[in-house]
Amino acid sequence: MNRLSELLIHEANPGREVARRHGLSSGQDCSITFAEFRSDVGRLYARLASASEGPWLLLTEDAYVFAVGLFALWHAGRHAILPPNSQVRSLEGLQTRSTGVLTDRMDWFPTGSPLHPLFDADPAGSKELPPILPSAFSVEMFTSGTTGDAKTVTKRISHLEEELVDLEAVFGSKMGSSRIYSTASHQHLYGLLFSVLWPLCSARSFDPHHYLHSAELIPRLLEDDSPTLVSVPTFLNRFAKHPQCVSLKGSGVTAFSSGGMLPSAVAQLMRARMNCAPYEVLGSTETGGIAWRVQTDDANESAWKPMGRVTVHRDEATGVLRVLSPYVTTEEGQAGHSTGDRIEWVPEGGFLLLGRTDRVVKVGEKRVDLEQMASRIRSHEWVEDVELTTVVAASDPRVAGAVVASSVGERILQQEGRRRFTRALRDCLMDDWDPVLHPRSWRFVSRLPTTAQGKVTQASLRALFEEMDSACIGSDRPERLDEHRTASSVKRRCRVPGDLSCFSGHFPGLPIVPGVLQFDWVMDLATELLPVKAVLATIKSIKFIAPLGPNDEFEITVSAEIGDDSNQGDSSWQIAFNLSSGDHCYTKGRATFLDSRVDRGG
Amino acid sequence: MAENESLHQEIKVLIVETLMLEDVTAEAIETDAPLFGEGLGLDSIDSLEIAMVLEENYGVVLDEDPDTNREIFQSVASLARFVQGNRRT
Repeated sequence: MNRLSELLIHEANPGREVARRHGLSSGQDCSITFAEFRSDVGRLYARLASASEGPWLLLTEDAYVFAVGLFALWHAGRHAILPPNSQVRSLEGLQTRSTGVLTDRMDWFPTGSPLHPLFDADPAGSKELPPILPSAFSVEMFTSGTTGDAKTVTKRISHLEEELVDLEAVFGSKMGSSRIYSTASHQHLYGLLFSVLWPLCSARSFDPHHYLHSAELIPRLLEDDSPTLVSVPTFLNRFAKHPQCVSLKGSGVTAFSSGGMLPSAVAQLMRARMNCAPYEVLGSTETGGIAWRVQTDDANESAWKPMGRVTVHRDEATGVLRVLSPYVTTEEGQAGHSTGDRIEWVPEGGFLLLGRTDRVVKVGEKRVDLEQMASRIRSHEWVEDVELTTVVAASDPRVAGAVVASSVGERILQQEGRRRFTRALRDCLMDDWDPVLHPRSWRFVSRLPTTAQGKVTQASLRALFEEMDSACIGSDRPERLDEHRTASSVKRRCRVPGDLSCFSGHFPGLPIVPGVLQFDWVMDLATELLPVKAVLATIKSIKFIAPLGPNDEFEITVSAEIGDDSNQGDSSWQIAFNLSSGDHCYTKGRATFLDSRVDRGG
Repeated sequence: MAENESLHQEIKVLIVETLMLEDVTAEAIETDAPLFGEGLGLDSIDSLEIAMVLEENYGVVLDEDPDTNREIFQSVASLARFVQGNRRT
């Protein structure tokens, strides 16, 4: 194992492969040797050494190009700022703090940016590299923070070196001389350490491409002998289900997962389909790696073991995890870094994670503080109040929001529709939250759902999304307030949502609930009430007395009696219904329902 | 042409149903509008999800080349072209 600060000064084997790029057009792989790496760094260093003082932005697509940029900056005694992504707005803010930009993707930056290519056409002589000072603060990264606050974390080179030493000590022997493939971005600590710096210092080769899809990755892994995959739960979730994944069964793949919990079903699938038990790493940008585990098949949750020389404490009062680690400086008198995760010791050793103490959740490996996001949405003039939760959409948990619209917002909903409204809310989050964190489901309600004790809880919010799942949204159902049931009747108090899709279509400027829709609501309630699956036979009468409009609160009453038609026995029901508010009646009528299971002999 | 249109429609329905989009109906998705960013506003998790559902429904597997994949994910029209040229079901 080489130290980062000595890597380019002491490497003994200049002919060894540092990285291998897959040549897509030529079909020929391109191998980059250590000598070429040193010379690329040396040439860039020569240019940087003569540039003016100050930190540099380093944002690349290719991880080898990134490594050249990072080492050139370090040898030049410069501080590297690693933007978290290529969103133009975050780049504009960062540029004001930097001397220049090193990138292989000029098109990501606004025009007029002080861009510098990493490889100059003019092969100015490679310069002798001066040593790197390990104690220098030299790389600045961004994190959504353990509390969800977007913030910067600055690492010393020595912090990274200590963590690399432990990575090799804990996992090195299992990987042999494996080549590293990555789906984790090197702009973040996990990808930076696992897929770039670790292979460089441990004389393993890496593929500098950042893989996004299983179909791109699997052929590469198949060509290689016992490759290592550095990945994240969101990717592995699909990867494990990919039809071609089974072809990797004999490939001896080693996999790492970090950035969020790997669902045990995914770990199981990976074992069954590709014979690979992934190493899960728990960590954060602030603390670096904290613990690791391999999920086993048995029913008990697998415990986490502290990583290398890290020690983990449990705060007696709060149950919260505290970390003392050589990868991060702990101020004198501090009891270590808290991550906000509550833990429990396991008698056999290690610990279990019990969840968080706050409202921070992870979506697609990114953290978000739901309270912070809710308070931003609350400041929008169309919003009276909002609460956020997470619901599982497709395969991943996504943020979901229950909104009470302000009076201005109500007008927007009715006149311009739901999409315009939710788009505006997402736009106001764009600057500070990655799009994967934006709420994907919205419910518009007259008041936030509460428990019997009058509290808005995660459970009461989630119930709202389950009750009105998205299939209902297009079909326009009323918001349920409360209800009263007897054996033969249901009286449900409801409110007409301001965002019914029929409002924008039916009578422009005059939003009313169409009669067919009102009758749909009656049907819903009737089929809930009747003891067996029943179908509508006839509508005997229906009278629309007064129009029902947005935000009207009303009671919908459906009462049933067994049919008195002797031919049909007890397989038919007479239903009486009305939509009313106090003495004021909107609609009323009668209908007959039949037991759908009875064969009527056609 | 008619076949193209029905495939476009099928893919739109798959997108809306798979991603459980609330504010967009299949009919409202424009065939040539960008799926990500300013267009439909999909994100990186969505693209993984769409890749999976296309594999399940049409037996098509994404390309090895990321640039090609980026083109495939441009719009409903480009997804349909990809499915058309590679489908096994």
